[in-house]
Amino acid sequence: MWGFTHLPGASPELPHRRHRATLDFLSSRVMDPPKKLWFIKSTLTAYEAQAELIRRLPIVRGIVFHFLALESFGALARSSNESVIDFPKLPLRLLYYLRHALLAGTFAVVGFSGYHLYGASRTGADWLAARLIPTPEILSAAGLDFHPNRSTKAPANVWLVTETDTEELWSNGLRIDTEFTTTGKARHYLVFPKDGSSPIERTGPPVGIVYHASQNDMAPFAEDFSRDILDQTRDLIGWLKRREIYNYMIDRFGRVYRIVSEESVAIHAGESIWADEDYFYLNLNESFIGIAFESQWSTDVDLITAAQVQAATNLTDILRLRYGIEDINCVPHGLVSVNADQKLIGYHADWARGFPFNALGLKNKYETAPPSVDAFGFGYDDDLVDRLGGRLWPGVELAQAQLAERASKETIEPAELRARLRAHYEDLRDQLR
Amino acid sequence: MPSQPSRKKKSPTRKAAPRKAGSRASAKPVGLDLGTSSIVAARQNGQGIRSKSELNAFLELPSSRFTEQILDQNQIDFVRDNGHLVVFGNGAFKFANMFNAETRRPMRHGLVNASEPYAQKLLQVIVEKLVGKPKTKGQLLCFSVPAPPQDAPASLVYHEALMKQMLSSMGFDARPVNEGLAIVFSELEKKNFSGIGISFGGGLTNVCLAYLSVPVFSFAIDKGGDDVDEAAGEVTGETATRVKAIKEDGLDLNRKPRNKVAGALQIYYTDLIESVVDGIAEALTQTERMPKLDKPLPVVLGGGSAIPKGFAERFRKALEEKKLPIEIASVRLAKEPLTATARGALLKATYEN
Repeated sequence: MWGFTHLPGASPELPHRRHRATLDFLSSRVMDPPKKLWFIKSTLTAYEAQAELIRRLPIVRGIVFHFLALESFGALARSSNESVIDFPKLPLRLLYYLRHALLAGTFAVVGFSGYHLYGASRTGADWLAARLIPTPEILSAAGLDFHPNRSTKAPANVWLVTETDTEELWSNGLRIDTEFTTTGKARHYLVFPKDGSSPIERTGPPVGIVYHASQNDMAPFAEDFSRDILDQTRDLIGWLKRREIYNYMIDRFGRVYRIVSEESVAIHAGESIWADEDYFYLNLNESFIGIAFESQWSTDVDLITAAQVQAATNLTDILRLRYGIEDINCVPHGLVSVNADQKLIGYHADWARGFPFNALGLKNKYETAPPSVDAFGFGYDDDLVDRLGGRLWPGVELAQAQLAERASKETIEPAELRARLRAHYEDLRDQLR
Repeated sequence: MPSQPSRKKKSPTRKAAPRKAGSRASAKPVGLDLGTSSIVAARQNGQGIRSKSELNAFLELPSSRFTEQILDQNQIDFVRDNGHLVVFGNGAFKFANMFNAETRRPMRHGLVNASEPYAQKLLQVIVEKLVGKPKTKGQLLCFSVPAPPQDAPASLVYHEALMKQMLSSMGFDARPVNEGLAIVFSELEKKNFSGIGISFGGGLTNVCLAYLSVPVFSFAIDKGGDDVDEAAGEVTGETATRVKAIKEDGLDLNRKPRNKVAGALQIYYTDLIESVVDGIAEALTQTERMPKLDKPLPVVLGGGSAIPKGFAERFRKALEEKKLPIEIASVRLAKEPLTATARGALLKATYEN
């Protein structure tokens, strides 16, 4: 197998989903294949040439994109002898000749109407609106400390009170919506004993939980956007269900949805590594449950609500009790995700900072040496450091120190030790194939 | 009439609008599929596209007056080299079949065959036969290249540079296009160049998922029709050339095999299809910048190895069995599987002209 690559050459980046729909619509009106290709490439390249700020501001980027698409469309119509565009000529000409006036007019209207017009004209979330609209319910996950003295042991007793075809009620107050639940492939996985003995095949229950951020479009968390928030959640659930992604999803109002049944494998962790006291776990889809917060995780804005944290706490309690899941095996995605081919940690970085361990009654795993580094010699690149705002979690430093100490004891270079550990990882990986 | 629209202000990165037909007296661009198994050239011909192909293979024969006469009489192309006659192109296959001999290849697994001393020379001879000399200096030509190999990406850089150098020395303005993307260009125009294009070549299989002509991911599997032929030949005791002939004589993957060779071919074709489907599933989960798709994507299969009857049907079933994180609208064979890549390269060349 050869590698997956983005193709060489100047391929423009794809614009926002809604703009792609516009481009798709207009492209369908171009009848000549080379001209259609020209129209698409020309619009995308022109859009990409705009300043990044323009491409990040939701309203502005929409206006600019449509202006550029119109400009290319008009230019194409004017340059063609034959009728290559299936579009009424007069409106197209008017639109083209008046494009600058339209652009200026649109900006004026938008500026005048302010964010109310903006809210009414869009359904999605955006960078600007999250800052303009007051969002008192949004908490910084890093600052959450609901139960500072909570034990990290699983609670002694939580039980299923009642269930219907579409809902379960648990004694800690958690309601789980089961209306959208789907079943997939049964769990069947290998665990690798740390003492080096042969891997053990398991078909039983999950041994851990991986916490994710759904990273979907997010409307601002404000009353005016209630309808949009609900629509986005509904779209997300449909998308997750079709693709069997995550076992659970917690929406922004703290409602918990079971997407893929716990007995089934959900897609969520891809190439990943974790370990507890006795075993290494590789590629955690099969062995760990995936729980996603409906959120856009980033290092500077942690969009997670108090209701979500409460729901995650209750859900974690239920799952830990039900499957005897150890605290050590409750871990965020960013800490387990790896690029296995390049031997790099943090392939996906969601919750590699700011996860509310304390609130969920879990030990802080940022202090734990990640086994990917410690036991398998993985490294990291500048891109990950940039994505995490300039600094990795302390466990990485700890793992590297442990690795250096081990190399020194064995009187070999750390690079040599790392190469040996990586080879060991490849051996284990081969056994999964 | 001006050759391009007069736009007062243009972004410096913006291209001029496409020229009107006949507005420039330049030579028509060329699309070239440099495949392991065959080389195909495509050109615009009136309202249609004309394509020509030659097998990318040769046969070395001891030089003799008698052999030369036979070759001349049968109008088989050859060149003389160091006391040998090197038969190339379609004639090589014909000759190899006659004498139950194995042809050699200037390319291997999609790249120039470094261990073959005749490779570069013969590639140039075959390309010259297909496209001739450029009508004007700098005539645009887009040629296909595979996706870069993960373990040795530099080998693609070498291959691409070598081909570019060769075509430039012939007087062309040569530009590369990914093979899978070329299939998307030629076959998915109605879908606005969105979908998965797969080129099942002789040396390898190239896959590209593009959305609105922008490639999202591309990869190549180190398996192709040649591997299928070789493996089937190995287990049945037939030469790969003979297996190829049997295959082209109406192999049907949906029917019970008629003989041992057909049975072996079915097994290796199934393996090839499964490898590609696994690769797509892996690429979809590993690609970070996968756009959210609003509609199902079509899949188009091109290349000579996709021609056997029932291939597309088998591929569709394999895709259905593998639960992919995207929806597939349809799976179909390219209108002309052998020329699809060259036609896609031509479209790119026409657009860039």
